[in-house]
Amino acid sequence: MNALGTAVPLQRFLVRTDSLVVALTSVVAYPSGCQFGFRVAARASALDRADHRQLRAAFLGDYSDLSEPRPPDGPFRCGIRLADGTKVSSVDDPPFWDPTSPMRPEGPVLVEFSSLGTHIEADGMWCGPGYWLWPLPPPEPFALVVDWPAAAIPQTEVELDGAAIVAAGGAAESLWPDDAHRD
Amino acid sequence: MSFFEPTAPRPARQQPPWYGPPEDVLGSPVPIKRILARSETVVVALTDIVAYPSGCQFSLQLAARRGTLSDDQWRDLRELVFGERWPAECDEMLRCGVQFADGTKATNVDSRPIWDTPESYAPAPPVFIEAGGGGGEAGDNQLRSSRGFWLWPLPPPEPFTFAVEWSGAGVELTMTEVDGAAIVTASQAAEPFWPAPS
Repeated sequence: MNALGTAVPLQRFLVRTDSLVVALTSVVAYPSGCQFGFRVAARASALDRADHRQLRAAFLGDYSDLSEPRPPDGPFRCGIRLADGTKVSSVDDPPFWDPTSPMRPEGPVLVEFSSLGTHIEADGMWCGPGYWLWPLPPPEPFALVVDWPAAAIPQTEVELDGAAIVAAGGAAESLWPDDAHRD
Repeated sequence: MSFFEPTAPRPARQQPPWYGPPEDVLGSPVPIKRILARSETVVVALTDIVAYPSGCQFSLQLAARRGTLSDDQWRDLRELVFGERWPAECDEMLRCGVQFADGTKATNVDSRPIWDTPESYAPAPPVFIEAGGGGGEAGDNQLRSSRGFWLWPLPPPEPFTFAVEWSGAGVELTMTEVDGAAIVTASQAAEPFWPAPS
């Protein structure tokens, strides 16, 4: 990739309770697509023991300590729904993509990318999942959808400005202008 | 009589404000993006600044391309891009920092990592310290690495200088002006995750 991405100021809270936050912390646009960065955080002081145990299991992806009946397991999920109804999510099977071939999948594609790991401490826990959307969305509003059943985070969606992302992608600067490969 | 005394609840761990961005605040991005330095083989770019009430985080992107470098030169450059160089050669590492209009400076060379400081350590402001970042890509002919630097406290609301020098990668001292007022303004839009106790 020969481009310097452009940050788009679309940060916001998607979920914000006394104990749990899901925030979209960054959107970075490139000519060929964009990255979404999230922060999911829980604070221990606002959780009872059972909820803390369930969240810890979800953050670690290890549900073996939970009592029956166990809540649903699985990862944090992110998805996009475009205005024409096209949907893509981080738990879809990514299409085969040979980077050496000029052929590209039909798209869109949403894959986990550049996540910040999971941190569990005495006063709380957080993780920073990140996703790459290819190609750029259409220049119109679209829905960003998240949920995490294992952490009792219900499906939540926000509208994002596709035009702002496309404009930022067009403003991405080449790292080396003498290199024709821009994206 | 019990052998063990009753245990008082421990106070929540507080990250010192000079150490890095707060973990429980949604920062506010500042639309500042610059190529700070570019050579035939490396680029140092400021990709964004995120402002918080207590300071701001600079995200730098380091990129390298192989071009005509030999295997040894490419290995050496990879070590520099990913910060893997032996400490004795730290003068070759990426050095960066800020200088305000009154001449005050803070750099990553001056800052001490928290594991190298006593609990009572309270550095005099300003502090400019590596924090966050990480991650990257290493291909046969291209490298990319993200590095984060935390400035505490916020800069004055006026232009200041961001300096970068990376002698090991052939980047000479380069100064770039950054708008401190834009950072201070953006910091007012940062939001704490949790409501303040009433």
